[in-house]
Formats: sequence, C-alpha cells, structure tokens
Amino acid sequence: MSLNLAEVFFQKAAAQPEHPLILGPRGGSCISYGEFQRDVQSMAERLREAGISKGMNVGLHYPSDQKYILFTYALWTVGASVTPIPMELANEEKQQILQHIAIDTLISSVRHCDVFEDFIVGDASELSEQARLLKVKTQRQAPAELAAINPAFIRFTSGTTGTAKGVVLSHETIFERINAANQGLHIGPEDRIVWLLSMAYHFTVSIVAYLSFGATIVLPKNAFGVSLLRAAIDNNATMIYGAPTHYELMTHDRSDKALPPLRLAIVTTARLSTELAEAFYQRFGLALNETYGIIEIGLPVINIDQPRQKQGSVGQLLPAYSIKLVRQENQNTSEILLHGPGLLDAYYEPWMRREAILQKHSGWLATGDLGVMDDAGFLTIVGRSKEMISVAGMKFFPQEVERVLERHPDIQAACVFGVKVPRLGESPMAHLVLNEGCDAPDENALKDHCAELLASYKIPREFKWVLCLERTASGKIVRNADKLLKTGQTLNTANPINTNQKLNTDKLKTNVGEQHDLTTSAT
Amino acid sequence: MTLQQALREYLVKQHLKGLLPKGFDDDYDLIDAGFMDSLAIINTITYLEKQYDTPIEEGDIVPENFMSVNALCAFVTSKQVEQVSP
Repeated sequence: MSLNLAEVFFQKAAAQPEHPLILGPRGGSCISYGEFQRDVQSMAERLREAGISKGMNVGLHYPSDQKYILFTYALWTVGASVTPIPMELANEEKQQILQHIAIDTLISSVRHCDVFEDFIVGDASELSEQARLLKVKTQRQAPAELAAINPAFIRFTSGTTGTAKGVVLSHETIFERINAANQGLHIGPEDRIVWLLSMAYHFTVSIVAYLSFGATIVLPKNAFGVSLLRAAIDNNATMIYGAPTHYELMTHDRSDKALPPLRLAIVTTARLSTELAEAFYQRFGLALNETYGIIEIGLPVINIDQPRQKQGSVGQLLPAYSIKLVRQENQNTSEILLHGPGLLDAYYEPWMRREAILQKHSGWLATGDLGVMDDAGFLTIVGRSKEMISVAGMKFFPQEVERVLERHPDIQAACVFGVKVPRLGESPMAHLVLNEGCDAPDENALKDHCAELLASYKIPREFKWVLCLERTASGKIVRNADKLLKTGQTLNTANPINTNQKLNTDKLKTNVGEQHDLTTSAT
Repeated sequence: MTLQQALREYLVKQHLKGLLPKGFDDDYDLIDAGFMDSLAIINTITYLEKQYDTPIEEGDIVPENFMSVNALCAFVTSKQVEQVSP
C-alpha cells in the first residue's frame, strides 16, 4: 500500500492530540494537533462532496497561513495531488501554470479568483470565508505514468534547468527527504519553529517535516523585524527558518529585545552575506546556519556544527547523501553532483522519470551549482554553471524575462542578467536593442509592460539601450554582469546617444560584439 | 503628482499588481492584508531611498511607517523635514 503524508500526520496527531501545532499569527492563538486533524478531516469531507477524488490534481492559490497547510493536507487525505500557484506571480504566469500542468480544480483566495476567469467552468463553491473551490477546464492531459508515482506535489518550476518543466514529488519521496534531513536537524515535539517563508515554494523539507515529527509552527504577525522577534520571544522558539531578508529585518530592530536560546537559525533560499552574518551575530550573539537545498533533492547540506567558524559555507553533507565535484572543462571550477534519498520522481514536461534524469550523469544529479569543499568536508557554493538570478532568494532564469521584454513592439532583442545589490543580493538588469524605426520607450513604460506579465521581483530595476547584444564567439548571449557593466560604462562615457533618437538598427547590427548606451535613464 | 499620489501609484503597481482590493483607500492596511512581505518591505525601502534620496535608518523599519499609503506619506515627509533641518 502506498504512503500518504496525511496519514503520517494523523498518526502523530493521535499520539499527541493536545500538543500545539500552530501558534499565532494573532497573539494567544493556538491550534493543537488533535484540533487540526479534525479540521483536515472535515475539509477533506467537503472536498469529497465537491467531487475531489484520488488521482486528481488541484491548483492551490492561497496565501501562506494555517489554511494553506489545511488545504494541502485535506487534498492529500482524499488522494489528490497539489500544484502550488504562488500568489507572488503575475496573472499571466499563473495562467501559464494551468496551461502546462493538468489541473482539474483550483482552491483560490476569494480576492484573487478573477485571475482564472477564462478557465473556470460552472459556479464556485465556498470552502471558507476566504477560499473558493473552482472547477476549471483542463488544458492538457496528465502524463500517462503520473498516477503510478503517487504524486503529492507537482511544482511548476524549472528546477536546476533553464526551462520550466515541472517537478513531480511523490509522498514516498518527500518522506525520504524529511527523514534524511532530520538526521541533521533533529526536529521533534520540543521544537517551536518560527516560519517565515512562502509556502508555495517551501513546504516539503519544512512544513511536512514539522507535522510529521511533531513540532510546533510559530507564525509571526507580519514580516517586520520587531514582529519576527516578538513571535520568537513570546513563543519560546527553538528554531527560525527564513531567508536572509528576514534576518536582515531582525538585525535592523533597534529595541533591546534578545532572541531566546535558539537551537538553529536556518538560512535558506539565498546566499548569506558575510556582512549580514556578522551584523546578526553582533546584535544577537547567534551564528546563522546556512544550508544548501534544491527542489530536485531536498536539503542535503546544512552548516549545523560550525556556523560561526565556517561562515560562508553551507556546511557538511548529511549522512544519507553522497557528493561529487566534477571539474568543468577548461575552467578552474567544479560542478556539484549529488546522490541520495528523496530525489525527484520525474520532470513533468517533457515527461522524464528519475532514472532517465540520473542516467545522464551515471546515477548522479547534476545541480548546475559550482562548489569547493575543504578538508573538513565543508562545502562552499562559488557560483552557478547556469545563469539563474536570485532576488532575495526568489530565483528565476533570465530567459523568462528576456522573452517578455522581446514581446514589446519596440524591442528587438533583450539580455537580462543579475547585478549585485545591497539587501536583495541580486537585482535583474536588462540590456535592450531597439527595433528599427522605433522610439525607445521610457523606463516606466518598460516596467509597466513587465508588470503585466511578470512577478514584481523579476522586473529589471535598470534598463540600458545598447546597439547590439554582446555574444560569445559561438553566438551565445553573454550574461556576465561584471563584463557587461564594465563594457557599458566605458562606452557610455565615450558615446552617449539620446533616448528618443531613432535608430537605424540594420546599420547597428553590423557592430556585433560592440555595445553602446542609448540612454542613461535607468542608472 | 503629489507625494501621496506617487506613493499610492508605486504601491498599487508594485505590490498590489495593479489590482485594487475591495475597500482600498489611503488608510487601507497593507500589512494586515498580506501585501507587505519581507521582499516588499526591502523593495519599498530601496525605492524610497532612490526616489526621494532619503536614507532609511534601521529604527525606521517598523510597521507603523509602512502600513498604508498615508503612513508611508507621513514617514517620507518626516524624513524630508529631518533632512532639511537635522
């Protein structure tokens, strides 16, 4: 009989019905394991009555709160799988998910149901005051082999690859992941974990682990530093699980509030800067635990033992995993390859099972990340072999933004790359080539165009008009920020061209490999 | 465009994705409604510093200053006054 993560939770709830499961976000609010189990079973019954059954896939479009966990576990209880539709995305991005993943039904926040207007069939049914169940017209067939995998999550993400292909995770795979991670985390009923991340992106080796191992989740009132500290203090937290932005906001707090003696302060989603690690340590006397997690494998590396001494390292490999560093051809860097429990079950489109994915590298998962390992086995991430951009831990590939920019009638070609900025880590910047005979649109018009089609964190903060995009000898677009910024600045001083000047792009295209600034509006 | 209008436009475009929630006005609680996550807070700080040449200090990053269009407007105004007469 196949595993169901909802059953794993029910067993834990039966063992500790009075134990608090969720504290907050309102002061004093608490729901126990037993109460939440009843809520999950009651919601599952409502879903069954509404026609949700085993084998269906339901899109979940809801804010990160107690109800998000409730809907996910209720859907698992009836045997359905879940495709998260992050609230942060632009409407078009949300609709794309429905076009690429076979979704039978949606659970949506009532305030945002309109996004799916063109897909809805029939009337919405009420699941709660704030949530509606919406039947949608399925846009495609699910892969034939999907049902046999016992899927829990189908995430629309590019993972470590450049194109969004969807990652399928079964109940068994997630269970393997949380057990492997817990060999390092040791989460148990005594833990109270302050939760700060988007549940649409982070749920498996976190929320599922907490519910499976009997821990308590602490939800803060909001994301301001003072509220995060208050949540940790008032609830005697033992762990915090957040992104660098959360720790930065806590560091900014000017009160004399001290954190309780945390066992772990996990940093995930983005690289932790030395400055922030030091500032947090100076303010709270606590070293932050960096981690290395990827959607395809879970959380195989955590800096548990020496976060202060080995700051900058994501830590040592957990016992269940194996690692191999493979020197890149003609380069002085090595790509990280991993193997271990909880590897993804399949890519959704084109459909590719785990065995086929791993076959490419003789049974190893190629992560696309570059790393070095010291003699004590501490891994440090030094870059990526692929061109992913990470804005405060929200990751995306530049090609996605380039495609949107190139849909603008005045833009012939676009190159998007990440530049280092304070606080956010990276911010996207765009080099643009103007279409022949067009006037260069201003920065606000470009941002408005992007805002209609992209999540706000993907919108370039700066735009620069160039005569042509820089390319390698083989014709590949160069997205190296250091190189592009250096080139642009040099030519900008030497040869500025007015924003509104009309250009003969045919003439300009002959200057392959050469860049000129056409505007300084976005500097 | 007044400061209030500019801030409203920024918040609606950037953080509400152009969709006005029911009952939205300049006192609408953006934090309570879930629009001010950590990324939105950091982006707003960066925007204010760039747009209004106003250095945001650590003690400024509190819910009271970011909770609505009116709160943000009062905050930026007070920072501008502070800059003129420190």
